[in-house]
Amino acid sequence: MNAIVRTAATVLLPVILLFGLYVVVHGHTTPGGTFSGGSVMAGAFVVLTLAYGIQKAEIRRSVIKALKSIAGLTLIMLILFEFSLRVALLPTEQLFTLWSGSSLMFFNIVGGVLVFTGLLVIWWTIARTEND
Amino acid sequence: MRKELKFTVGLACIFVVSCFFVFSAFSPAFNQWEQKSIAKFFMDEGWRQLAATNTVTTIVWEYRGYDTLGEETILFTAAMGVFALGLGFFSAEKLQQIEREKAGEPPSVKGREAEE
Repeated sequence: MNAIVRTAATVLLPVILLFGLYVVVHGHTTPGGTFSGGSVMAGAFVVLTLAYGIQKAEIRRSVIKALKSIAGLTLIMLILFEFSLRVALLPTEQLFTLWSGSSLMFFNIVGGVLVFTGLLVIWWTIARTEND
Repeated sequence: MRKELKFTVGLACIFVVSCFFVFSAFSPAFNQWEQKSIAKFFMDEGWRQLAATNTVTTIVWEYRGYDTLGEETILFTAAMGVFALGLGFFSAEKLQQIEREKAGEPPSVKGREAEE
């Protein structure tokens, strides 16, 4: 792509990532949640790939796969030990704060990482196949 | 004849879908959700039980948590399937056939059958 698209992608990448992280972390107080935030964060890397090409924009695959596996295991662990976590978090509950919503924030973060890595793996595989 | 059939089927589809929308908009269950006990429970007690103001997240991750676990499993499986397709996981036999054809041998699987 040309210089305009490349510069815009470089400038916008941290902003899009931060917005996606905000949507994921504040999923229990504001509209949004796992799927929308993870899709936004994956969209940042889609823009980067469209600007620079798949060869430069791709992170090492094993990192993404390890992140995905860790997130999946953490989700199962959260479901197994949710009640103890909720008992620990319940006394600090207050509406419209980040630490409200007893265990929803952890579920949102783990699910957001799962959606982000899943969409990223799908996108990079398709882009690399198109390039070959 | 075929053109007329296509036109009729399309018109019937549009009629059925618009009938669905109209009747769902005027049905009593659409407007009077407060009389449904479970919807009223979600809207009234969800934020009180979990201190979360986003009711959608409350339903998705708490009241329907196992459903969402299955959804994440579907996404995980889809990503791994696409990854395996991109690696050429399912085309090893095809690659072997291509190599065999390049070497001049006939593309058959008799050797493997004899081994088994």
